[in-house]
Amino acid sequence: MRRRTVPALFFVFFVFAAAAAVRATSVAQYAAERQAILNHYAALAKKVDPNFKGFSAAAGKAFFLAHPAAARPATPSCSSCHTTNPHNWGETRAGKKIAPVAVSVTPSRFTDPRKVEMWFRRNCESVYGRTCTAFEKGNYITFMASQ
Amino acid sequence: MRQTRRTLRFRTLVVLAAGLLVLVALGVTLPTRAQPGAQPPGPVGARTWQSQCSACHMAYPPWLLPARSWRAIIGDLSHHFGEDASLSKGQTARALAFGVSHAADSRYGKAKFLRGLLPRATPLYITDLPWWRAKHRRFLLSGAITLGPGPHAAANCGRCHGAGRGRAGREHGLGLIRGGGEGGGHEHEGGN
Repeated sequence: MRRRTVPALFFVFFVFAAAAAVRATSVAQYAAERQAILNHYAALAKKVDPNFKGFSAAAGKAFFLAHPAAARPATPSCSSCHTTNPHNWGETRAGKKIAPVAVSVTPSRFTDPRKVEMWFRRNCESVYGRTCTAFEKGNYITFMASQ
Repeated sequence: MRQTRRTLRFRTLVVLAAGLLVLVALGVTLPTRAQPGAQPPGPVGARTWQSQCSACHMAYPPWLLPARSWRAIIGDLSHHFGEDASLSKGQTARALAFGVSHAADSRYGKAKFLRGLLPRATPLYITDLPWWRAKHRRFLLSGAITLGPGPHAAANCGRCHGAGRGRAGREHGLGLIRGGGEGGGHEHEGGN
């Protein structure tokens, strides 16, 4: 009986390892998709500034916490809905919960280019009163990916 | 013989447990993406209405406002109650088509929803309908529901009406459009 139990336990261990591998793969896939989006913004940034060296998480954080003068009254800052801590759940003005923006908490963040562009378009207009630059978008994603 | 049978049973159990674990693991870890082509058939714009409106708030039943209201609201999503909620051209067209085709003055609506409303008035809030005000007067007076934001916001129909529960739920189709309901709790993976 005992002789049979040991291989069975090995099998269970193998199953756990496989599950962990699948999770790691999906996170790795998300990371690759996110990097593709960052590369896209980096290419745009280089067109504007040939000396562009890379995105800055610190600048992204400042951008996230800022209260721009041109903000619409309902949305003074990104943090109005997302809270000042990206690890927190946010809430829309209508009371709907928003999953944390921090990539460590929500690994699927910034992996769908169309979604990313749609929300930057809307929220930049609401909070900054204009469209955001490729620098700002890249910095923001870099900050959230570090969180 | 008996020993072998017991061992076999044990191994079957282990294999079954392992299989269950694999299923759970895959279900939890595989990223879920909308499968294009796997969309359920339905009226034009129903999916857009549901998915896009409910990114920020419950997807309100279109039959609670007249078509002219939806034209006004969906025609200016860049200024949507103080926020830019603009959609792509295609999404805007589909949402408008659904709103107009299912509006209060379509065959999906009821005359009583618009009773007392001036024919040229274009309400932007369901709560501006005289019918709605009359129905909810005592709750507004007691403070059980309030206009504007807050935990008692009238905007959150589902707080009282549930997922289509009760008479209002059945009569007005609240909850027939999924994704509405309680403002809290609904995971919203939207804003990335």
